[in-house]
Amino acid sequence: MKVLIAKAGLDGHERGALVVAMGLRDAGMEVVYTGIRNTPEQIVAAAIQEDVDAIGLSSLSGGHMAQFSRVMELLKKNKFKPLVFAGGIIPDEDVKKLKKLGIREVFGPGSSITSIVEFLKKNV
Amino acid sequence: MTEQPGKFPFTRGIHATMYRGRLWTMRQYAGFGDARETNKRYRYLLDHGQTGLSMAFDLPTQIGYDSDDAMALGEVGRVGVAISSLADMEQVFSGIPLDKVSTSMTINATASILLALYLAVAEKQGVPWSKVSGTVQNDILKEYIARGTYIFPPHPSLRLIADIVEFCAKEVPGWNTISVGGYHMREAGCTAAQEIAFTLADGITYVQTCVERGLNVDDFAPRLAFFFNCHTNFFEEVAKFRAARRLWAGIMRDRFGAKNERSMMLRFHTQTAGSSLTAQQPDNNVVRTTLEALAAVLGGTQSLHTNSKDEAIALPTEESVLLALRTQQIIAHESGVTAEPDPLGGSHYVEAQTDRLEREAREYLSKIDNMGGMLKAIENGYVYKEIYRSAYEHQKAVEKKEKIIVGVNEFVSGKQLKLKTQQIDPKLEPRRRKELRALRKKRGNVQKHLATLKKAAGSSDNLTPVIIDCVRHYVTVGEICKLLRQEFGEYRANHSI
Amino acid sequence: MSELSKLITRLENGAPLPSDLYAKTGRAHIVGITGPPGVGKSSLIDRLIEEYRGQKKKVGVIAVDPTSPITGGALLGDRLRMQRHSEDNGVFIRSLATRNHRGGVTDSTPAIVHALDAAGFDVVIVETVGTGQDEVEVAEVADTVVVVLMPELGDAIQRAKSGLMEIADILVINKSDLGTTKTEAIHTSAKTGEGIPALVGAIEAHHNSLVKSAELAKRRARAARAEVIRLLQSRMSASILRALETAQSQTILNDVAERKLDPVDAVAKLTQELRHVTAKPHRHT
Repeated sequence: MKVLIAKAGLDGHERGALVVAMGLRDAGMEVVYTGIRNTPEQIVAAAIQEDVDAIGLSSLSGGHMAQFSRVMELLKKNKFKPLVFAGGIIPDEDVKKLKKLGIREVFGPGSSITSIVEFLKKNV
Repeated sequence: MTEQPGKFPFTRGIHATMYRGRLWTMRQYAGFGDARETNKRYRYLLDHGQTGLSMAFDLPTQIGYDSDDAMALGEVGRVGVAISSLADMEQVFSGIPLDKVSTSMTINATASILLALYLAVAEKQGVPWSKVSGTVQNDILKEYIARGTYIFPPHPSLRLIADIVEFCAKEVPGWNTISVGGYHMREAGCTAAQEIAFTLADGITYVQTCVERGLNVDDFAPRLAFFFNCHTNFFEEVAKFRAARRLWAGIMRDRFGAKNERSMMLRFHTQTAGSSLTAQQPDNNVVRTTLEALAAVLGGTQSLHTNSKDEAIALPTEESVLLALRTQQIIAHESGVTAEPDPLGGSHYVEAQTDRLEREAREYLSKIDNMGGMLKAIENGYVYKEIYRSAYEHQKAVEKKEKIIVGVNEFVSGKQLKLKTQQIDPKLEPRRRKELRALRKKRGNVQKHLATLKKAAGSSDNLTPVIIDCVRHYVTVGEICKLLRQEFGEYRANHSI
Repeated sequence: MSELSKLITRLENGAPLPSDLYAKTGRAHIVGITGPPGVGKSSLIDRLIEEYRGQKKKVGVIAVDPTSPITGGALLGDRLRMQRHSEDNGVFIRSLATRNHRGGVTDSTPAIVHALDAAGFDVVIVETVGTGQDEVEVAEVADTVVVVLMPELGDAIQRAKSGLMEIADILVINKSDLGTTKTEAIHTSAKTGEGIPALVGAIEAHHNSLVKSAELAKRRARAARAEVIRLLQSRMSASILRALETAQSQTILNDVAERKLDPVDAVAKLTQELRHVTAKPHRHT
C-alpha cells in the first residue's frame, strides 16, 4: 500500500504527520512525505504522480475547511480517487462537513497509529 | 550546599530573594481574528490581573503575507491576530498605553517588522522608546526544525536578528531582543536534556553572531531571554531549569568572556506543555496545567503562561483562559511556595536530577560543537532526526502503554465531552481584503520607501530603522517581505528522518 | 499524467512492458545519479530540474529509497526536496521503494525508464539509494553516470569503494559551500546553486560524445542485455521458489537437513521439479 502524507497551508508543525508516516512505514506501507507548506495543487499533483492508494492530510492551524475542500475538488477534477483521511486539530462540527466532502475519517488528538493502520488496511 | 540564589552560576535562581521580592509575570499568550477582537481580549486579561501582554500572530503575519495574499487562504486570524499594517497594530493597542505594559511578541522571521510596528504605535501614543518594554521571540533557528515559520535562509535571517539586537541596545534599552526557545522543540518531541542543549546551542549561535558583528557581549547579553517548556515529569522539570541556568552562566563567562553578572543570568519565560493536554476528559487538563505551573515556579521562572483546558482542540474561551490565569494567582498568593527561593534545592533527588541533566546536555553541546555549531547541526539534519525520532519513540511507548496518559490510553471514560470552543468569524477574510484595499488606496504611493529598503538590504546597513520608516508610511508586512524575499531568497527545507 | 502514473504502478508490480512501447524508446537521455547517503543527491536533482526546465527540456525523475527488510515498509523522502516542481507539467517525479530487491535500483526501474522515455521526456534521471551495489546497477541502466560525493567525507574513503570510480562518467563534489577539495570534479552546491550550469553542461557534453563516438549504441546494447538477464533471473528465481513449495521439494529439503541427502544430489532432483512448474510474471504481494 502506498500513502501520501501531506501538510497543507502554512502550518509548520510536523510532529503528528511524521509520527504517522513512520508508523505506517513500520506497518509495511510505502509512505511519501512531502513536508510543510504544500498548496492543494501540489498535494494532488504529487498524489497522482505517485499513484497513491491513500492521502493523509494534516492540519493544526484551522485552515482545513478551505484547504481540504480544495484538495477534494482537484481530485474530483482529475478523476483520481484515493482514500482520503485527515488528522490534527479539527473541531467536531467540521468533521461532519469534511466527511460530506468525501474525507473518509478524521483522526483527532490522541489517535493511535494502530487505529490508522487498521483503518487503512480495512478500507483501501 | 554551596550554591546560592542570586549568585553565579545561578542554579538556584537569578535573584537572591526571587518571588519574595517580585512575583513572576503572569503572561497569557493571546491573539486571534482581527485587531479589534484581540484588543478586547487584551483589555479583558489586563482588567483581570494579568501583568504582561503576550501576542499571538496568525500564520500569514508570521510568514510575511498580508491577509489578502493568495497564500493566506484559510489562515487569516486563525492561530493569532492578523497584522498587515500600522493601522492594525494601532487598533490592537487602542486604550493600552505602551509605557504601562510590557508586551512579548511571538514573532520570528518578521520580528523586525512587528517590532517596527510596535515602536511606531508608541510614537503615535507619545511614548518615548526609552520607556517601552517587551520582547520579540526573534529566534529563527528553531523555526527551521520545529515550528516552520521561516522565510529567508540562515545568513540573512541572522543578519536581521543581529540588526535588532544592535538597534535596541542603543534605542530601546528596555527591550528583550531574542527569546531563545526550547518550548517548541520539546513540543516537537525532544527530551528534557535535548531541550536544554538545543536551546543553549541556539543561544550560543546568536551570541556568536552578535559578537562577530563587533558588539560587546555585555552590551546585549543582559537583554537575551529564554523560553522553556514545562512538561509533566515534575521533578525532572524543576531540575531542568536549574541545570539550564548553571550551564548558561558558565558558557557566558567562560566561552564568551562576559564580565557583567547580568550577562550570565538565564532569564526565562515558561509555558506549560501544550502537548500534554488531551481532548479526552478536558477537565483533567486543569490538573495537568496546575502541576506544570507549580514545577515552573519551583524552577524559578521569571514569566509564565498557563494553558487553558480546551487548548488541545481550539483557541481558549474567555472562561477557560480566566481559570488558567487564576491557577497562577492561586499558586502565587495562596500556596506559600513563593516564600523561599529554590525551595527544592538541597533535595537529594532534585540535585541528582540537576547534575544528570547538566551532564547529558553537555554531551549534546559537545557533539554539536564538533559538528561545527548549531547551524551546521541543523543543516546536516542531526537535530531534526533527534527530535522526531524521539517523538516516534514516545508514540510507540504510549501505544504499548509503557507511558500512561490518563483518559487516553488508561482510565478511559465512555463519554466524549463536548466543549464550547472559540470560533473565528468566517467573514473575517473577505473583510480583511476590503480593509487592505482601502488602506493601500488611502496611503498613496510607497515606492520610494521600498526603494530605500531594497538599497539597504543589499548593503550592510542595519535594516531596523529603514523598516520602521516603511511601516510609519503604512507599507504592509507583505510588501516588505516580498521585497526581502527577492533580495535574500527563500529557505528550502530538505530534512529527512 | 495519471495514465503514465498508472502504467508505472503496473510495471512496478511486475507487469510486462506494453508491447508497442519499447519501439518508442531511445530518445531520452538517461542520467544515473548515485553516491552515499547524505551528499545531497535529491537537492542536486531539484536544481538540475530547474536548469533543464530553463532549457525547455522535459524531465522525468525516478527516486529510489530502500524498503526495510524487517517491516517491508519504506519512507520515500526524496520527493520532498523536489516538491516545488510538482505542478510543472514538464516534470514527472516518481518515488520507488526497492521492495525485495537488494541493489540500488529496483527490478522494474528499466521498464519505468522506458515508460518515461516513451512518454516524451527528454531527460530521465534515476536517483539510487546510495548503498554498495548501486554503482554497478545504475551503470546498467544509465547513459551517463554521475557520482556525487561531498568534501568532508574524505576522498580517499570514497575512492576505496570498489567500482565507484570505474563507472563514474562525471564526478561531482556537492555541498561545496562547506569546503573545498583538491579533486578533478565539478564542484556544486545545491544550496546556493553554484556549479549547476556546469554540471548540466558536462552531462550534455557526455551525451554528445557518446552519440558521436557510437559509444552510446554500445552502452545501450549493454543495458538491453542486462535488462533481459535481470528479467530472466527474476523469472527463474520466482520459478525456483515456487518449485520449492511442492510436497516433493519439501521432502528433498528435509532429507538434506537430516543429512540423508547430499545438497548437490538434491539440486539434481530439484531440477526435475523445476521443469514441472511454469513461471508467471512476478508480482509484488
